[in-house]
Amino acid sequence: MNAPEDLETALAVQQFVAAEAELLNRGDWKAWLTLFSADSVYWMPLSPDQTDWESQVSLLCDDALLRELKCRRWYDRHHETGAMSLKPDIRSLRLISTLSVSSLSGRDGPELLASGGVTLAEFSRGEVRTHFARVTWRLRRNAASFSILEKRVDLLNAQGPLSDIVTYF
Amino acid sequence: MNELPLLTYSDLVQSDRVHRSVYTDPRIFEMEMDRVFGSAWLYLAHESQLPGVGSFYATRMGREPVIVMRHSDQSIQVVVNRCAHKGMQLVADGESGQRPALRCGYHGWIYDTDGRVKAIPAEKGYQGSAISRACSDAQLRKIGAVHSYRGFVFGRLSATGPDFFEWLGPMQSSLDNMVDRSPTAAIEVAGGVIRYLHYANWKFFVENTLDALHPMVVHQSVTRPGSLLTSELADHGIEQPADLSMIAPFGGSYGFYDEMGQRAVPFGHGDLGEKTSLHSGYSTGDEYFRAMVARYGDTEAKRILGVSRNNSVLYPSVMFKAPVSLVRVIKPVAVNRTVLETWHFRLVGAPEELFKRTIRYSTIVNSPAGAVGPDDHEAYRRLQSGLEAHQSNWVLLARYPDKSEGDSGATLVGPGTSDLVHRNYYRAWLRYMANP
Repeated sequence: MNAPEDLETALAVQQFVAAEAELLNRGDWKAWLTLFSADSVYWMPLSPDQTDWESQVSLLCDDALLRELKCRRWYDRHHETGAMSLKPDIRSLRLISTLSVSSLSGRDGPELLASGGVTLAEFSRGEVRTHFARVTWRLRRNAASFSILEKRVDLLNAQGPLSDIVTYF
Repeated sequence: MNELPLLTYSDLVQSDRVHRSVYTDPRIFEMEMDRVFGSAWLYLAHESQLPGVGSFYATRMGREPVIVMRHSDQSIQVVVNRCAHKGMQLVADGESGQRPALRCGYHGWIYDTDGRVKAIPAEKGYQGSAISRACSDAQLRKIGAVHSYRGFVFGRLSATGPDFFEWLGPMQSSLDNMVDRSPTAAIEVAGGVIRYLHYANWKFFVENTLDALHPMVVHQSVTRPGSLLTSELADHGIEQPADLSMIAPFGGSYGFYDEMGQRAVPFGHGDLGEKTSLHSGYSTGDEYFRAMVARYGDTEAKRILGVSRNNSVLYPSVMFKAPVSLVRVIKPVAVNRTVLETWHFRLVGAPEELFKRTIRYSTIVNSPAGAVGPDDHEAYRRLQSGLEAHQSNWVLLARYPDKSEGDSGATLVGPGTSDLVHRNYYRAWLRYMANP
């Protein structure tokens, strides 16, 4: 067990992940990208006990380059050549619950670990698709707030069969 | 529903077009399960999934739940996953493991790993009835035929039908290439399986796999920003990162894909990438090449690595991607529902970098959360709903007509974007459907 964090820090982390979710809810992916550190990974493993993304396949393992690529794909979605899976448009909502915050000593200094259940609802063409996951954020404090070192999304039904997930948790 | 059968199967499948109902009519789907999935050889598993006696894997052959098992004599046995007693599935779909025997969780009947019943609880009660441990009705039902070729396990539900090698034909070279790429001529399943639910008919995926006219349109959503990013990085003197070079060929021109070539083989099989492929540009690395030369010699190693078939379909159930060491299995669920499984293989004895590349490729390209798969799926969904429309009935397969086509049983090659392979699918489909 990691040490539980003091209330003030826990509240600040809670506000940070809520603000992060809100950027995605609004479709402001450009602003969302800035929350991540340069060598960070958004990771959606295939199995809950997975420890790496090189020896086991993942549903997503997006470093800064792939996040940038997906972000551009997102903003291109209304273009004629845009992604069919993102048309005519998609709205999404993230509900975060049971968030716990603890501290740990990372390789390059102190880190915070936040973990909670997240529901992602994606609305498109008259249908709402819901996805459930345990999301774990590894964060580092920076001057103003936090930066994300890793965001791990353990999808409840990662082992499937599962259908499309076209936005980020 | 319309009344059947105003149209015969040969009305539905014509030389250069097919009727929309082959994708949308649930009665045709049921007939496909009986006649296509019921009599073709279907891919079941790889032997590395069945390492020891009692290893098993539960899968489906069309509608039929089956268990693939390693028996005590090392043979591979395939039985219908249904207790002889009341019919309960013995093992959950997709489950695997190792057990000395299979015990039904309902009334406790116990079966050996070849499907023979070993124990019937409170057996005395059957005295005087037709049921005994010796009778055929008390055994698990075996499928029609099983054949394992170089570790790939195939089964056929029907007792009669073409011999495995007759069915496989020249596609043997595509399967061989998948295995020969290992410097020990051994490969093994590893790295997990992606199970992707598609709300569409199974044939859309099979057809898309050898459809070289779609990547430059459907996947422009990712190749366009990908090439912009690549050129921005180049402006800073940065080489194209590996991830972007995996994506870039999806944006290849019609000429690029035509040049790639295709091959249409009897029984509906085919390859895309008879000459070159999306993966031709992949570097292999010195260590790997040396290991290949040590095993096969210089000429043969170069020949093996020079075969660059992008996708190879063994109709109707499986696609092999030898250059990336992965297999995609097509599991029809309903007329408008299909599960696609992606299995990954490690080339035993090859540098681990190759396996990492397989995993990276699949994470980027085959995931339902990726930037490639969902756009293909969206195309199939819209094909499904487009073909529900009644005002127009035909799907066109007219591109690059070839006068030598026919039911001659010859293997034909054509430009990569030809409909030759699609017409070939439907020649096989018609043969299965019209001649049960």
